[in-house]
Amino acid sequence: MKKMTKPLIQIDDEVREMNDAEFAQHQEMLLEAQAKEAAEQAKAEAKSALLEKLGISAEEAALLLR
Amino acid sequence: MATGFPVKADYTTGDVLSAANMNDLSGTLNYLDPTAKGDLFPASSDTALTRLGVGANGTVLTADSAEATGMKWAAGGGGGASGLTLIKSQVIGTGVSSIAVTSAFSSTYDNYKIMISGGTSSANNSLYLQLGSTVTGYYAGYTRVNYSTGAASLTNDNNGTSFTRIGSSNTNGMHSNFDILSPNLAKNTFIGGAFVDPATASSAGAIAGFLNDTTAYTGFTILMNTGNLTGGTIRVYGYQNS
Repeated sequence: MKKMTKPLIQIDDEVREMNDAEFAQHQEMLLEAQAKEAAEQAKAEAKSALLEKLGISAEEAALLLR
Repeated sequence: MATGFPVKADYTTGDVLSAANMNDLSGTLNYLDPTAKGDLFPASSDTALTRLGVGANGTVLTADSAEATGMKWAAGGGGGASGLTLIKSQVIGTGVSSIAVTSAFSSTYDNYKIMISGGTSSANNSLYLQLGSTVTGYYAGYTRVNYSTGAASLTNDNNGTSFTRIGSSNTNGMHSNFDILSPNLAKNTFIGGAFVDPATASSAGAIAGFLNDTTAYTGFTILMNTGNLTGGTIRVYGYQNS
C-alpha cells in the first residue's frame, strides 16, 4: 500500500493526495493560522494578567464593558 | 352557452350529446390524446387545445406569452420568482484537508449563500475560505462572544491569504453559513455571516469582510487550520437577481 505523506485534497468529487504545490500552499496557510492563534493566545494571556492585576474576574470586567 | 372547452359542461339527465356539443365554437372537434406521462393540454387559442409534454425534473410551469400555449417548462425560479436556487451540492469525502468547489458562481446570479453542515472533523478547527486560487487580499473583521464568560473578543484578516473563520467543526458537528456577494462580477467580493464554535468553552460571532480584487470567480476552496473533514455537504444557493 502506498504510504500517504501529504494531506488529502478534494476537487468536486475527486479525492487525492495533495501535489507539491498544493501541499506548500497548505503548509503556508497552516503557518499563518498558527501565528494568528498564537497572537490571540498571547492577547488572552495579557488580558488575564491585567484582570489579575486589577483584582477582578472576567465576568466583572464584562459587566464593566456592557 | 359557455365558451371554451368543453362547449357545454352542465349536462343533465335526459340530454342527448350531439356533434354540436362535441365541437367547439369553430366547428372543430377537440380531443385529448396523451402520448406520455405528464402530458398537459393547454389552449393554444380560444378554439383549440394542444399537447404540452412534461418538462425535465425540477423544472416548473411558467407563463410565457411568446409560447404557442402561453406557458412553458423552465428552470426553477426562471419565471422571475424571487428566492434561492440550489446551484451545487458537494458531498465532502473522508479525511480531506481541502475541498475545492468548481462551477459554483456564474453570471446568472450576483449573490450567493453557502451552507456547510452534516459532517465532522478530526479535531476542533476553524474553516477557511479561498476564492479561486487567490492567496492575498483578504480583509475581514470577526466579533465573537464567549459562551461561558460573555466576554467579547475581536480578530481580523489584514491582507490575509484567506477568510479565516467562515465556520467551525469538531468530532460532533460542522457549521458554516454565510452570504457571498458579487464573486462572479468584476468587482470586489464581499462576505457576511455567522460562525458557531461547537465547544462549550468557546464562542460564536459574526464575520464580515471583502476580497480586495476585481477577479470574476467561478469557484472556491474550503480549508481548515488543523485536522481534516469527513462527511457533510457544501451547498451553494443563488439569490435570484429579479
